[in-house]
Amino acid sequence: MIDLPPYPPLDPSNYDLIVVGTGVSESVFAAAASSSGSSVLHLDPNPFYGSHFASLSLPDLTSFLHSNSVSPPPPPSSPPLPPSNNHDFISVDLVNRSLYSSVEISSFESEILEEHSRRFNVDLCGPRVVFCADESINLMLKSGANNYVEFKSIDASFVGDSSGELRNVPDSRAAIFKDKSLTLLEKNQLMKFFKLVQSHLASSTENDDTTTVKISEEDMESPFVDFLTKMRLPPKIKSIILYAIAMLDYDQDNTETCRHLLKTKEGIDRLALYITSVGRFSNALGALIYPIYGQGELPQAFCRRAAVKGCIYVLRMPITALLLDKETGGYKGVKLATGQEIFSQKLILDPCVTIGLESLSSLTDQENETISVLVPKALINKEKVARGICVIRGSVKADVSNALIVYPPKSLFPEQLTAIRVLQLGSGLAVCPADMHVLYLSTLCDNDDQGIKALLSAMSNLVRLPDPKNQQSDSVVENDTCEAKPILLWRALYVQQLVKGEFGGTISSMPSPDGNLNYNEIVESALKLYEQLMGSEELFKEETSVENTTEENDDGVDIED
Amino acid sequence: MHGRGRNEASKPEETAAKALELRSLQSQFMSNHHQKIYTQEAIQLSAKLLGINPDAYTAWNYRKLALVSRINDDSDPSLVNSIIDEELGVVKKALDRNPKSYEAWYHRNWVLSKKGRYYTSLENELQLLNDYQKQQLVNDYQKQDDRKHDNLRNFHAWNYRRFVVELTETSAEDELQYTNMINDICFSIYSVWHYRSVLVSSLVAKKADGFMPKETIRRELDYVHNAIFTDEVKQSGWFYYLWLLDQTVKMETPLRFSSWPSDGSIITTFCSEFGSFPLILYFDQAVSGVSSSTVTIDSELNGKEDLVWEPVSDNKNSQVDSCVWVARLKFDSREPCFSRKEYKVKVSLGGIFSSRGCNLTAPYEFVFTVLNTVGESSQQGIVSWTDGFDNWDDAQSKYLNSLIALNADTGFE
Repeated sequence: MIDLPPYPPLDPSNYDLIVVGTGVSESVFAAAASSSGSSVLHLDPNPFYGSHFASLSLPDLTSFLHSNSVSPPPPPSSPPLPPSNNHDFISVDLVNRSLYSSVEISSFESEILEEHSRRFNVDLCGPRVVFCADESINLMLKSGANNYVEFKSIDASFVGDSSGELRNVPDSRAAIFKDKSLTLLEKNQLMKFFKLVQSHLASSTENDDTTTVKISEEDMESPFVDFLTKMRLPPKIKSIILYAIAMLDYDQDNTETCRHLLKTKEGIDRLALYITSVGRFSNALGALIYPIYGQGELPQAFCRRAAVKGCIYVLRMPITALLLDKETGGYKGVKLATGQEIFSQKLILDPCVTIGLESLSSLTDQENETISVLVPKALINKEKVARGICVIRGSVKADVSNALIVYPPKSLFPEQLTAIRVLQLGSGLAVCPADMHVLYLSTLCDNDDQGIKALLSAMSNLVRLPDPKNQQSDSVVENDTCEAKPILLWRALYVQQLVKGEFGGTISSMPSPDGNLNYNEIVESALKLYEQLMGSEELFKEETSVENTTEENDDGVDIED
Repeated sequence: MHGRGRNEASKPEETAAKALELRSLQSQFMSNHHQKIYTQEAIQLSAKLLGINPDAYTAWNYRKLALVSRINDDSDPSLVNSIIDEELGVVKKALDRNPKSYEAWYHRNWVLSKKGRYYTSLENELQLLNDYQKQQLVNDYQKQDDRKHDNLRNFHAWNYRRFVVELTETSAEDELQYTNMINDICFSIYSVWHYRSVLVSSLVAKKADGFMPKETIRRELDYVHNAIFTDEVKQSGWFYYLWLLDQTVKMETPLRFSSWPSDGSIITTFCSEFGSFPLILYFDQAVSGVSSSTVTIDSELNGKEDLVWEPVSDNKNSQVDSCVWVARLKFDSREPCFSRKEYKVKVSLGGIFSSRGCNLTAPYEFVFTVLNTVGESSQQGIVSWTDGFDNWDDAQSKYLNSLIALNADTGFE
């Protein structure tokens, strides 16, 4: 079925843990397990690390999206085999679920892109940044994986609207002072609110109930948007706080369509994440940083850490079947694409690995229970995230290279139900050639069309489509135009299904990339799964000394504890 | 920060050993000093002492003496440079130990003022200062960002900055931009606002482009509003605000003046058929621009000629500001139109500005009467104008000007 060059059999063939897929959650898991002494085999069907979190060149990205999208059914290689009966195992065939749909790739300047094709490192899970106080940073520090990644600051954060204007997000005292678009009264109100949040956070760390101001329990349980109204913050400020600082998705004022009405408690937590991120590292400009060479560096860093601790890595190695014990129906191991059988105590799987429905019917109840996480369930909340990637010549904002732009709900067009986030990254982050930028867009949606439509609206606000007539004289025209929108060179649009991680005893499944901007939730869910599967020992506790690979990088952010 | 002592905690055994070392150094040093020994070795010793205790001002003074003894005006420039480098090196070490040592900062000041012209790396000095001020100290995100910018708050550094700026002749506008930049980082630093007030005052006094008093104050008020609205708890902005308001109060006071003859008075001319008498204008601030275009006389006495106004000051140049202005009003009773006995003279003023931008809020006039009494003499109210004001000497005019300044508050009209 799969053409693989002859591969020497793996030795040993018995492990404590097998992990399939090298996404962020899986890699964290592998690193943690290896550090605590387990023997781990980490496999990935792709020829690269990172799985759905990888950073790829344009051609590689295109082919990955196409091969993992809803496409014509796989060639009927063999009729659904009855589970084969060798040894004491039952072999259950695995099927790859496609995570992506409505994939559309358009190239407007093929020759130029071809020339520079190897200079691109484009994220699959973008737009994504790391908050300085993100859980993933803490984990990297703890595990020592931070030695393998270098970060740079995101220069600025903006709020956009249909007029095309981009306004700075006032996210700190200094930013409020500088902001020219806020009235004096608004500055005062916003600062008062920040101080209240800071004081509340400070009071939770010190046990001083009397002097510091706290937010009442009652308020904490109320919806965040109501609390903001109570604080007498004008709508513009509320919008900035909800969507550009707390990074919410759904329109909190629209109770019908809002999937997730945030409570004040959670809202404050999100603000806390942002506020503690600002100024955490002395040479980070703001709250957000980005790894040089793309987000794919993060799972790789954890994999390296795992490898150092003894984890074995095999790329280009899909698994084709699960092996279950004939008698107990419990998990025994996996069958590799080479045909070799590998055994382990526990198994962690990439979210795309599932079981064909046809195979289910022939399984016993016990067996069904073992593989419960793999059964594709009817998703109740069919939440998806629409993603877009543009390669542009020029920048969406003059003098700014790496920037985040948020379009709050209803700001671009009246039916916009969810926030649209846009991230522009430049060559300083080694993700594209010098005069170009990569633009990532995402928005949560219920169906593909809705999501794609929202993304296209944002794109047209920021980017100019190349005019086929003026293709030659484009550069001349650019210099003269006062609007100076950047030109689109290449575009990818796709919708990704959101799959949550699931604990299933010996076999557990990891989450797909989520719709958030940072890694907080992904990492937290991975850690929770780890605890459930491996017990609640502290992770990475023996990493006290850090291998010092201190390179002098003046622009880079020093991640230090 | 205010009210915090220096943090120097150390164990008792260490302190004892340090004290012993210090004492021996000190006694050696003092003997060098008393005997005026300025050898290389002795100088090194003083450097070591200062490294431990940067506040030992005797040691600094010793070094000053040593420097003077080693170089004089015709020394080789490279020697001068290397000695200056050495001194600045010692100062840097001392500042590392105690960034707020008055003595260390003053020594730096002294060294550069002595031989600053010869020092090749003078331009670096400003850059070094910039780097020092912007250097962030505390790398702990849990602390408020106030603590990170301790170097920015070091008033010694700002004081020194004014000295370096003067030495390198950096422009005040550039420095104002610098304070803008610093305020963007942290707008609650007293020294920055104070420096701003100094810069703004000097730019307004120089009448630099774009720094007319009224527009500057308006601009600065808008600017400081940002600070006090964003965080009303931070006091430094408020102090600057008060200073600005103080400037405004001075500015918006209308210009006041008095005249001789005063409004409604009667002047009697006699003893001569023709002559002139002075028309005097006193202002409560020094003004310029008093001329026949700004002061109009309406009377039969005045011929077609314009009056010449002169300021009463040590400089006879009419461009100068003065509080007192004089012109001579001529009368000639032999002219046929002067047959009447009484003439009213109306004087109107307008468009006169003081150096601070104050002006007359409305055109003002005053009227006096001239009585023509040729022949009849009256013993009452005789004022003899034999000399006029031409011979007033410098001292007297200065005295008069200062008197007027003192009288500014007595509200004469």
